Amino acid sequence: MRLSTIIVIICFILSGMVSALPAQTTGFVGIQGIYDITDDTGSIGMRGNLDYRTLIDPDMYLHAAFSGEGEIDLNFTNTSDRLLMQVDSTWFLADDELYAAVTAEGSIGGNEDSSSYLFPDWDITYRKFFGYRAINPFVSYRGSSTQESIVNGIKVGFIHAPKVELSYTVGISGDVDTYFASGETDVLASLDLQLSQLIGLKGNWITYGSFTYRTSQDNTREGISGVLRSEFTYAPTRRLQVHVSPAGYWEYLTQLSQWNISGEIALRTDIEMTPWLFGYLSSSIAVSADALWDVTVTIGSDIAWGSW
Amino acid sequence: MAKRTLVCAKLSLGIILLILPAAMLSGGIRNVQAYEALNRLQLQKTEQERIIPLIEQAEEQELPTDYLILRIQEGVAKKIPLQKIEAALQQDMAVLESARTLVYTALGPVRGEGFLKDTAHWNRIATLIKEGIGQQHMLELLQLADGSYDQLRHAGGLLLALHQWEIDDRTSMHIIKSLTQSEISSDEYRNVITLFQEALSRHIPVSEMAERIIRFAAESHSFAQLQRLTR
Repeated sequence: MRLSTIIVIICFILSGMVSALPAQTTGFVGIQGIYDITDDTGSIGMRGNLDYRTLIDPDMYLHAAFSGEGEIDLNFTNTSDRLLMQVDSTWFLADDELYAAVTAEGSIGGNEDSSSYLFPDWDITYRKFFGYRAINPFVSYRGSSTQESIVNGIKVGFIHAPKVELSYTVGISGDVDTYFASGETDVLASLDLQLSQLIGLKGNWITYGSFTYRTSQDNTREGISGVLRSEFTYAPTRRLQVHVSPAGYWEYLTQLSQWNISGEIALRTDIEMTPWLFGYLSSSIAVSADALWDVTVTIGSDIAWGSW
Repeated sequence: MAKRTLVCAKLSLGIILLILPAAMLSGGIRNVQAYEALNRLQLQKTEQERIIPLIEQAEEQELPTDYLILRIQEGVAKKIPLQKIEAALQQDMAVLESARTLVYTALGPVRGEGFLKDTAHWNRIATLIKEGIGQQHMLELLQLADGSYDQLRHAGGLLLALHQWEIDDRTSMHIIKSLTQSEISSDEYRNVITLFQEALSRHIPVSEMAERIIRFAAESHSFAQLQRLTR
């Protein structure tokens, strides 16, 4: 069966699904092309998203989202897919709130690095609200699982907005990472900080930094690591937005005295072509010890539906 | 000697105080600060003859002359031709008159007059009108603010930001109404623009994000909570 026929059938099925969806459901379907300049390889793909949100009653909010994307290389030999599901709920307790979320990332057909998989993670957070200029604390229990290990941890921290243009979040966390095969347990302690600032009415930037110490019986894991990432967004009108995000990652394995450093910078432009048709062009440059340079360019278009 | 100097100074000051109002009356301008500001501009006689009657007219109509003087100063500093300054002044006077009518309609003449005693309030409303916010939406905004300058400033600032972001004013007013019904502090309103920026990143139509904000704002006690409910 030709690819164009498959795409037409998928679109037909999706359009039928859309008409059957509840009124509070929104989403998009789209196509994209990805070109890896470093490897001189390309692929085309489809992606889609469904989003449902409602107030169950004035004190409880429910949100469910499902998104997926599939790609095939230009020789039509290798395929990959990625699915993301999320269900979260917020319970309003006077001025405070209790948030619970379950997320799962998976793949049906797998990709070049792995076969099919499903990695769930979960989060329960209690947020105390003292006032919009006050220091508002939170505590959360979160966890995640992969084929190799399961992580459980507690995080405490606070959010403070000293002025409307600036807010920051500080958190400390402790996690336990248990490996299924070996039965080994790593203990992690982290400190993270996020700063958000508005720049006039058309721009904003967010900077995120974290520092983690991991103790482990495995010398390829024990060490300290950190992330420093920044995101700058500028949107002069509803029709155009430019997004630049540089990031740096570092790790020092104490038992091996080994440094691993990598970095990347991504540039993305989103365009609203009509109120329901979007286009985007993104490129990223990654630098690491394994691959000195990895440059990719993605171009795509999405058709959205919702309440217009 | 010092005593004599002091007497002379007092006498001179008395004469100036007597002459100044007379001079102002001859020009017809009653606002001392406006008169001094105009003097500092050192306008030529022909320019004075064309500008001063407009300021006099504004005073007669009880419009804020400080606002108009600022416009003249701006025009002179930028070396804009006199005709254009005159036209801008006439347009500003019409806008200010329109602002007063709107305030009196929204708050009534007594509260309206009290509200407009501060030139900053005139400025804020005039700016919104000049940026193209329609009369009906301006009236709704003033009624929502109900005489609170902070509400007018923050809600008006959001309305202007959304207008410049090409979101239609009717939708923007629905958003603002929903925000005023919420517990979200008015100085956080400007953050709403970031929700639309995020929507554009995630390819959520503007109308959909607007509807989410309208639906969930009333349930939110802070902007952070609204952000979580709409993203």
